[in-house]
Amino acid sequence: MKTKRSKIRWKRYLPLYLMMVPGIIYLLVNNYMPMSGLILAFKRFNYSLGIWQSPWVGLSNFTYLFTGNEALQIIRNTICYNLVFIVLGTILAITVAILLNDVRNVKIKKTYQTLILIPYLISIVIVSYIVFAFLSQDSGFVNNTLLKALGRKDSISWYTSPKYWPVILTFVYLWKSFGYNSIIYYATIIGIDETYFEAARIDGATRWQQVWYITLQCLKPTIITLTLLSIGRVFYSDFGLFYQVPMDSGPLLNATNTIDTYVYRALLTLNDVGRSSAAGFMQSVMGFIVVFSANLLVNKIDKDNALF
Amino acid sequence: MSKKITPGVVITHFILIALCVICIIPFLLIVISSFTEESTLMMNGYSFFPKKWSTYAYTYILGGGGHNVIHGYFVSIGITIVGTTLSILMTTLFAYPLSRKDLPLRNVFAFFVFFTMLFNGGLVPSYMMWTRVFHIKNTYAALLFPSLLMNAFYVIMMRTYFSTTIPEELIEAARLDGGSEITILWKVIAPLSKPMVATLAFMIGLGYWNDWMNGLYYVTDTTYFSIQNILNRMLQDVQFLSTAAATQASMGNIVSNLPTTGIRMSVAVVGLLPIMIIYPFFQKYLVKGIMIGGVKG
Amino acid sequence: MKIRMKKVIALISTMTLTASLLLSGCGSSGNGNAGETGSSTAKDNSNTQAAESGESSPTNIEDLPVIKMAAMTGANYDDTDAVEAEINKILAEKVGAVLDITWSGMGTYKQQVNLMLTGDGEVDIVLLSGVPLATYAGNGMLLDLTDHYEQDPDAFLEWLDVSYIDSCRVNGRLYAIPEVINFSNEILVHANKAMMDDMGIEADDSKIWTMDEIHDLVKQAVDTYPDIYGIVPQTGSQFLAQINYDNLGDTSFVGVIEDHGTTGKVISVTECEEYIEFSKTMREWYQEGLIMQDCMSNTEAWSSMIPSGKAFCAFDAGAYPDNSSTEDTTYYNLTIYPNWSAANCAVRLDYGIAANSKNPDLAFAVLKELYTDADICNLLMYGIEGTHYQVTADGKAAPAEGLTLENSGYSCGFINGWVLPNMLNAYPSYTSADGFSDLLRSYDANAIKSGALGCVFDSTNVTNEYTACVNVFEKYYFAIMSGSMDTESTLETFKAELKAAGEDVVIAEKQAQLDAFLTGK
Repeated sequence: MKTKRSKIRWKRYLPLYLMMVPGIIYLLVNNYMPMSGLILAFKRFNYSLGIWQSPWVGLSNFTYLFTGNEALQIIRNTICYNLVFIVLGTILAITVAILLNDVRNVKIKKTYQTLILIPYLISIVIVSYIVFAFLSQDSGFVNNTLLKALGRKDSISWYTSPKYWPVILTFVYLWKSFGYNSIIYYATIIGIDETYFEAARIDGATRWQQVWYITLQCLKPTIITLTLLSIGRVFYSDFGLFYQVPMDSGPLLNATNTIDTYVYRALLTLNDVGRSSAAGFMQSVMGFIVVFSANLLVNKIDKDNALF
Repeated sequence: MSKKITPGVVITHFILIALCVICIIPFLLIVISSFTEESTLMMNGYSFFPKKWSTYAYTYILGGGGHNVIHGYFVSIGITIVGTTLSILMTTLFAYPLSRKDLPLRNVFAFFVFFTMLFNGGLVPSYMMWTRVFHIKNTYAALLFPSLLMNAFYVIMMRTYFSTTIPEELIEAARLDGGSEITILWKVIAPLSKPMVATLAFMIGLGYWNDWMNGLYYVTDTTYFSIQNILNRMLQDVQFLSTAAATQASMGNIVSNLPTTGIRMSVAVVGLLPIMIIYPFFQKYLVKGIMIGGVKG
Repeated sequence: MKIRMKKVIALISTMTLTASLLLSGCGSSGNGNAGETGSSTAKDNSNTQAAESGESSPTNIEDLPVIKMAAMTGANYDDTDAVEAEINKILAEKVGAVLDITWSGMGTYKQQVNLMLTGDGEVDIVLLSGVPLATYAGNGMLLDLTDHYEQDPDAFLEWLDVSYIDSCRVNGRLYAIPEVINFSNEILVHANKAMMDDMGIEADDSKIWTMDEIHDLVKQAVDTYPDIYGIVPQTGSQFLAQINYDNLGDTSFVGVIEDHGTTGKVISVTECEEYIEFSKTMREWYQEGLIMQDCMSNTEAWSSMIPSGKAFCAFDAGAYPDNSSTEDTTYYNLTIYPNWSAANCAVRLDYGIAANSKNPDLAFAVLKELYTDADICNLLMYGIEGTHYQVTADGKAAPAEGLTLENSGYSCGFINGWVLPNMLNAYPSYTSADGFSDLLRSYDANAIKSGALGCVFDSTNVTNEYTACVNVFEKYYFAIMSGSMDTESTLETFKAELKAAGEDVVIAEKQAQLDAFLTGK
């Protein structure tokens, strides 16, 4: 009896499983096979011996991440920036997506969409030059034009004053990413069944009520998914944003040093595969723990929206 | 359809226009600096109204320093089209079963996908595998396959989209009509998912277009250089020449003639332009998607 | 939940297991053989080759073993294949192998070569530019060349002083051959020629300038031309790498030896008098407005700012055995410290052979020809005579009739000959002075030699402390040196943070390595 039922089930779902085969093969090849290289985090990689014959070194590849006073600072920087980015980024992107959806004129809407995506397309190296064009002490737009207009005579030395950089980096991040994120949210919003809104309007719901009770409710799964995904990367940082945009300026390091830039500077000349694997391994494991807990929480509250 | 201009509409447009201005101004700055004469750029800094204009940076790039820029464009276009098509197919095929709440082991597979976002083996193991097992070094496959073909993030986005916007009853009804899973996906789901497919296709295409990492790692033969590889190499070389190596004897005098800032800016423009041209076409599908999604759904 | 976790774990472990099986399969088949069979096939090859070239016609170049070489270039030349073919005609005859050069862009070279070295015989001969040789040797990236070299050391000693070659030894074994190039640099100021002439200041070639004289000069320039920068950094945001203290070749000056490395005592850079004095002076100059205020975020090179008239001068280290030859340059070189050879002067640019090379013997034979065969050196430098270059009446190489550096199919030597093994074994470039080769050699011979010449620091034993120190170093070293931060207080912070990062451990290790080197000498 039981076997018969599972047979039917099997037959019914077989096509679905088959659909996944190409993707599974690709992920196995592209992602899971190289993952065995994670053991390099525990080895001293020797080029002529290869991954498997290289000698084990226990946890010694990890210790440099915790040597000195910098460790706490770089971990704090990485997490705090990411949390701010997630919260502000989500709010801004959803707001823009909703506003976009309100625009009725198709041509104007198209123009807005095109323009807000531009920053996302500009490579981070170029972004760093743009930031420099604004903040340069001698010829920067801010010192030369803005501050003068505001009546300040002395110019600010932006690239040696770390206190401004949390704001600058957040601004640059939001500027660069909000277009992309709001397009993802927008794609979900336009998928929402129009009849919900019509019904709501007939019932006399205000604009705010429509947004609150329909749009945001429908966006909830997307918001949860995207947030969970970013939480998993909370120990990573965008190298370009934290290295190129501050122009690798030494005096700013207290505000701009993150795990990734720290590792880059530390291993720049050493070409130490083991230690860089160790850093990646640590970031992954910590991210995994955080996202797993978050997912557990989502599972408790709202089972359908959990990631796995 | 009569329109009322309410304060809400005004505020909406005001905010969006403000945002667009913030986005467009730096881009304008790039375009203008790329057409600014190098010495003016250096003497007066970046400006929206440069004293002297010049197209030297573009002559330099399109001259390519020996690189065939046109060929690079063709490589990029070909790789982007093939890659995006394959990628969208695989992503959709993977995401649809994952979105089916009744699929056994659904969460295990979802985890299988998600796990790849958290852990990666690093560059060296990937490089060893792709070059030793699959021998893709210096082939077009090198630009196509490593890391770009299917991204867990897009699979999860697509799955979320399917499960939120496609009513289960619709699938059930189609199944009762005797449609196989593949027909259901093709005939029922796909048309309803045009906005997401178009969005993801654009994102994936962007990924392929902008990618220079695969070229950097897996291609040394300039025949297989995409436009981004050519641009990236120029950028890196100019940077290298202007910083390192200055301490060597008998450095040629050509170094001092390199137009650095202007080149950097025009490199950005040359890479960006095709996207700016293509994007409106994708938007047409986005808009079409609204119609279908709105009217029929 | 429990059940799901179990499934997940089971799935993941199956995945990794399959993955590791697959990878280990390819790994062992690739690696296990590399060491043993690699060299044996090489011998087979060289035997058959010797036999072939001896008996049958040497024309079937296609069948010869290919030695792959990685080199870097600043431009992409159309005719590299033609030049290679010419070189291979010579190599086929002399060595019984052919050369296949992979030219990588300079900016991407290091990353690409590091990947190639993981490959299985993907590359044989590699140019090493500023790499920590001891680390590379320890990582098993490079082949031990000692035995190959010992067979015929004179071939190289004709071009290189033995102390330079010994610099490339790690624990007594040789891992690379230095390029034949300058081995000493002077600290100097590049000063804008037009402005100097305009102000009527003589730039006497033999004069050593004092810092006070430079100060007055820059002051005058800034007063005369209010719109320019007085002094700009050496490279990017790095104001000036070092003065006359030796750091044993690591890139971050954690522990230095004063007085051209002659004191024999490693001290913290925060206690190095030369560094402190220089920084204090620069702080005064900075506050006077003589130094670019943006120098911590600069991305332009002095080599573009000075010619374009945006800047008056920059500190730099370089070899200029003869200033008069650089007639078409836009700056004068004002020496402030005479030229000296730092401990690592011979390991900045060198050539090694990959440990995973399939043909190590042939690879070394080819490498030797690249240093010693004048025809090959000329081909590598300037391309094919008549097509790409011509020899002028005074015995120098110049671009062939009607060609410029931009439209030539091959002009490596005119643009960046320093990437090649032996640029002195070729015609001098038309831009260089008469007797350039001899000039450069006597320049090096007369240089002040570091007391630790050839002792290159290996940070392997103290990596944890070293990497922590590097991050502190990045924060303060150049900022202090450029005068853009208060010297006294920042030095205190610098010192404290370095201590906390474990500087003492690194200094002790450096001292130990130096002592061992000096006793061994």
